[in-house]
Amino acid sequence: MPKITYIEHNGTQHPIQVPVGKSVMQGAVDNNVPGIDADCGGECACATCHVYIDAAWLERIGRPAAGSQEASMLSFAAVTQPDSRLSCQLRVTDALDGLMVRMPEGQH
Amino acid sequence: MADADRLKAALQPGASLAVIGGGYIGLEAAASARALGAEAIIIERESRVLARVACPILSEFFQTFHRGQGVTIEVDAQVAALEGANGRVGGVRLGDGRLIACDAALIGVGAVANDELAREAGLTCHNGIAVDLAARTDDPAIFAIGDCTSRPLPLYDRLGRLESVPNALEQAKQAAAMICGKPPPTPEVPWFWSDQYDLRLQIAGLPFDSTEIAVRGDVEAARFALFHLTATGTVQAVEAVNASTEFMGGRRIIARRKRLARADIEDMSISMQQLAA
Repeated sequence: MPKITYIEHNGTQHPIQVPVGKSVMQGAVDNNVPGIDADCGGECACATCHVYIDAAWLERIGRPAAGSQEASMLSFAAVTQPDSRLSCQLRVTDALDGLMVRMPEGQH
Repeated sequence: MADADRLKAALQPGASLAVIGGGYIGLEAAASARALGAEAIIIERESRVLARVACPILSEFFQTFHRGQGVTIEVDAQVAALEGANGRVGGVRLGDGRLIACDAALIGVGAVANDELAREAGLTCHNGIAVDLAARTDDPAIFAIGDCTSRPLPLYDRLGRLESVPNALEQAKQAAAMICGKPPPTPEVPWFWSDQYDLRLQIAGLPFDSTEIAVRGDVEAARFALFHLTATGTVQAVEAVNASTEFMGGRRIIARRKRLARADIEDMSISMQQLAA
């Protein structure tokens, strides 16, 4: 099962096994990883599942599609950076085994 | 859940759903019925759908869109009775005497706060169980959250009862923080969303004192946002359809109590980033 490592803003790491097909957000929520709120439950309607993609993975994961719902929602999310993604839009596959994401200081 | 399962089972191609109430529940159900190949007839008491929760421009947009999807909408319509046989509904009798035939009926006519327990406990209730910004009732050992509460709305200097997922979540965080002795959560601008067909409606704020509406985007193209301004130009609310950037930017503008000129909001050459700066 792919392993996703969630890194809190304070540096605490949470390596979690997340089944293929689940979103990166769901992997955090299912395992009580702090720092991802996911207020809308994964509908891309709240921008509180915001994460920063680790540099080693950024090219593979890519940016949100131009003009997409995710891109619009990210435009005003708290503390966005060039490596920002909404984790409810990232689906776990075997190719993402070892992915590391960092949580922002706050989701609101 | 059992009701939801029964409803879904009834929504077969060719079946007909009568929806009593043209609020968000009714519109969402009608959209789902159409997606499943069923017919939908909305029966609304007021002169427009979403009468209590949206401005006339938004109501008109959704009425037009739903009718374009084959939904029948009856406004200014009273329901006199549900008719049927053998424990199954067969039609809705309107006040004007007409019978709307149906295979299933959904009633979505609004909510009333279940404050009976709170009243029995002697807690203040007025259009909901009265709570503060930490979700505490009169009794600091008793918390109440969600659709049943009447809570302060700091941005608007009034109390309100909000029926939304985001509100329930915010109040849950307020209560948890107070109970655990942690700092309160960041205050949020009240917000709400509704998905119907390929339309995503997102609403930020509440247009209590709005005297003017700025229209940004293209209503015909179903990609627009309505900005509600007070007499002094303060943005109090934004209703956005397939316009998440406007929704997110609007929320920030509302939180900062920014004043904007209608002409600037309606000028698409001015970006939301610039408007919200």
